[in-house]
Amino acid sequence: MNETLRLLLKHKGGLIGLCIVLGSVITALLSNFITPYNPYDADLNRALQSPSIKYPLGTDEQGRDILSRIIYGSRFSLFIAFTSVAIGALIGIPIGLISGYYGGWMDYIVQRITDILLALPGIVLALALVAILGPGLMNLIIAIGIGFIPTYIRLTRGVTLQVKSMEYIVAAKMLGLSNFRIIFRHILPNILPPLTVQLTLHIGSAILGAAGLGFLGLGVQPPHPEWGAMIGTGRSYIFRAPHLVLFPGLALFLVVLGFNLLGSALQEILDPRLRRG
Amino acid sequence: MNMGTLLDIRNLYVYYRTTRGYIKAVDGVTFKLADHEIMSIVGESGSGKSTLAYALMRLHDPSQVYIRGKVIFNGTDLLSLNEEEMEKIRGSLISIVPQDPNTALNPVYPVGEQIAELFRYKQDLSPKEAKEISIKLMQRVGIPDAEKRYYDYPHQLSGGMKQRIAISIAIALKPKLIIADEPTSALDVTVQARILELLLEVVKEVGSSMLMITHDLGVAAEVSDKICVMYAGKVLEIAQKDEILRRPLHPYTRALLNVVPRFHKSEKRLFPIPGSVPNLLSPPPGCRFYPRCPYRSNTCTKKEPRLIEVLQDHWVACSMWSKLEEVDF
Amino acid sequence: MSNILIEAKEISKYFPVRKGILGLRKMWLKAVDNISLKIRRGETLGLVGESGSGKSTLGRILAGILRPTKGTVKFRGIDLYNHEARKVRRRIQLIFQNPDSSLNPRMKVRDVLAEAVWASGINEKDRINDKVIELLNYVGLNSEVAERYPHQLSGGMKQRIAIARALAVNPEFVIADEIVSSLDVSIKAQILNLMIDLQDRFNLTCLFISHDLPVVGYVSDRIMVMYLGKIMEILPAKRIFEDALHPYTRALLTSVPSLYLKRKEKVLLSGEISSPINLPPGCRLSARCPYANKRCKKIEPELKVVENDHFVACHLYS
Repeated sequence: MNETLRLLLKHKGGLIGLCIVLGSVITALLSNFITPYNPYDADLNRALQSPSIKYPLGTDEQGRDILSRIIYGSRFSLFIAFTSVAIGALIGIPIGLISGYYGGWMDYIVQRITDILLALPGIVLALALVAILGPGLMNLIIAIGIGFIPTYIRLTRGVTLQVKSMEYIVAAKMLGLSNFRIIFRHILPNILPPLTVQLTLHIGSAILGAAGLGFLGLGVQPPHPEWGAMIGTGRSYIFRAPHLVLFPGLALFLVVLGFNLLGSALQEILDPRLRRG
Repeated sequence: MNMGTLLDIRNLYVYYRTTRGYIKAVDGVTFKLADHEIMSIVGESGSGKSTLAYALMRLHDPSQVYIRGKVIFNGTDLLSLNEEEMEKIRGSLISIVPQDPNTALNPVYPVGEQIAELFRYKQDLSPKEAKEISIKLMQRVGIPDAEKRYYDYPHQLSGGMKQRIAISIAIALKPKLIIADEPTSALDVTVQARILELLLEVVKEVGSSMLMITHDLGVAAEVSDKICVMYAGKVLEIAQKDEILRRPLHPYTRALLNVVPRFHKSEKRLFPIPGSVPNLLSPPPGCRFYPRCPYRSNTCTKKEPRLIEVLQDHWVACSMWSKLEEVDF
Repeated sequence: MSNILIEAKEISKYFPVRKGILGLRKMWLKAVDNISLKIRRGETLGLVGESGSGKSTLGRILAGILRPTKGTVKFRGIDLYNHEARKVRRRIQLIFQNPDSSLNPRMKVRDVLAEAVWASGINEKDRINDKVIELLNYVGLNSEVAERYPHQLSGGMKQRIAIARALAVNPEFVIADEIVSSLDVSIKAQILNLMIDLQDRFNLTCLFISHDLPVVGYVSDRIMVMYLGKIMEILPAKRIFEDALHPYTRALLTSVPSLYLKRKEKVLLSGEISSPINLPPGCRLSARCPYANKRCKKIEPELKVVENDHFVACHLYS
């Protein structure tokens, strides 16, 4: 653990990624206190103003301060991302683990179902779910989360099979340890590192997924300042006031970049380098 | 017989760069190899023998290693050449027989083509000529039905067969130096014997010199003219094969000879070398073998013993060599 | 009767292999073919063979973790592949070849051994700790190793830990599957001597599997030579260097590139090890044996006694 952290801090990309991620998380948590204006405060008299000293990122079509909306919007993006990945992982990982460990016909059936689910493109699946459940924050999270489940089943199963083939698992069985103990003490700790890498990378995808749905008007509804939704409404003003689209876009780019850099760095660190021990 | 010096290695250092510092894999190695001479570099893991072999062919990723010294091959310092010049030498003047026959061949091309490629690319032969020569080579290394097997893919061949193909690739352009990196360690025992026999035959036929990298003194004894013993990045002893086996002067060489089982436990116990190989990130001062040496004394930690020619053509790096009792090996 | 700890009767293990277009042809890989053997309490039986010999497969069958296709394995008279075997499972332990994958990389040495001790039935923390130190001492390691993780240990040390783990549950039968093959020459000898000492000290019965004949010749009491799933020869280890009779055993002996092994006549086998799938009739070695005749290619030789405790499966000696 400490070793990983040490190497991460030395890794240039990882360090940048970590800073961005921590920065966004802190921003999201403190957003209530650091927004210069109320993100929902609308006044058509000051609509579509270019960036100025008073409004550093300008105002949107309803006269709201964009900087405040972007800061506040980080709450949505991060909350959606973390929660949906959590749903996918908390359901997908145990299924993949049990399926991979016990094998047999149960594993076969689970795999075929996963094959089918994975064949559906993520966006289409999410769209379908939102269409069924209706728009809104929680439904969006559920839709994206469910979309992640088959990926985690497949991923976890793969790593579980790898770990299962290690001789220390055979040794554990020969000691007479129960399957329960073997799964928790031997398999789980060894599948978590590669899964953690995937989790980090998926958060970036989840943010983009939420933004995509928001852009289409299917996610978080106005007046909430979700970045994708902001880009969606800002689209109509793109020539007159491009800053409505530009700044939420940059925010998305920056945060997703941060998670990707962090995930990549973790992947490099956890893979061959630690083997040199 | 013309016994000029083919390879002259002087003060070669090869260090690996890691996040924790430099791993001193080859730490000041000097020796010569003559024309038509076969020398085995014998050492365990961490001795630096494989690193040395790869460094000679400049196969390391330059960003991961630090190399210093001189490697004079046929009059040219290999370390001063750029990649393009090295490429001309690899395969044609110096070639390698790799350790693992399973990964040595490209799985998506027929084995015959992999030999022919050398002739087409390096000697500009036509596809037809290249194929003919390749088939002859395959026959020479003992592949039955060579004309048919030319089109086989590596996975259709057994380990021994693949190694024969690898050997044919190594001798194809009649190089001056062949580096054999543990060529039999991945093979079964009964196959090993025949591959070693073959290797020795073709090397002598082509007239190349050979550097055999091995951890097995038995293998070294079978094929070599000279044996060089390495430990923790240093050369400890070099001499003609019969001389070193009969009269090993370095305690490590002696220990190695004693540690191979050749009798039953009820007759005699093996005398293992206690301890283990030192940390190459920060090796101890003085002689590297000191902590494990049964003949050690205080002088051994103070100064690192230099490789000196103490008897004719018999070099050893040990301060205590003259104090070892005469034992019949 | 109580002298025999392990008895295997007519063990075979066949693996199905699909070949041909669309994988329609089903053939059988006969990894182990009709092998019977008895291992006496307290002895070390060396099992020697090259790849494809079936020695590792046989090892796992005798360990109780690989059910044979045919035949029975009895440990202390109890069938290992029956549910009553549950009580004796722990009495058999297995030590593996690869020190890197035999220890959980996320567990400290202390935890690895403590878990094994706990599995043996000891519950109190203090007693567990004491036993862990004791085990480390048995295998020649000092207690500071306990705080380390596997990746901080050398190959030899990891193997010692694996041996200590096996000892923790007080086994009667230990199967060592190529445990020194991946170690350096100077470390091999250390581990071999350790095994001999431990075997004496704890009166262990041991199956020592290796492709390295001199190694097996050193540590074993008896040696069994396997080739392509069959036993070629069984004889006391002391006599292997002088009295080996089977052409395959002699080929193994003379093929080892060695400094000192006396070479009687060099026995050279032609060709390569045949595939264990769809074997032709007759002796398994007949395709490569310099002494093979028509009878060898038609009729499989049976394992017959030639001398006290010396069995050979070869038409030259029947």
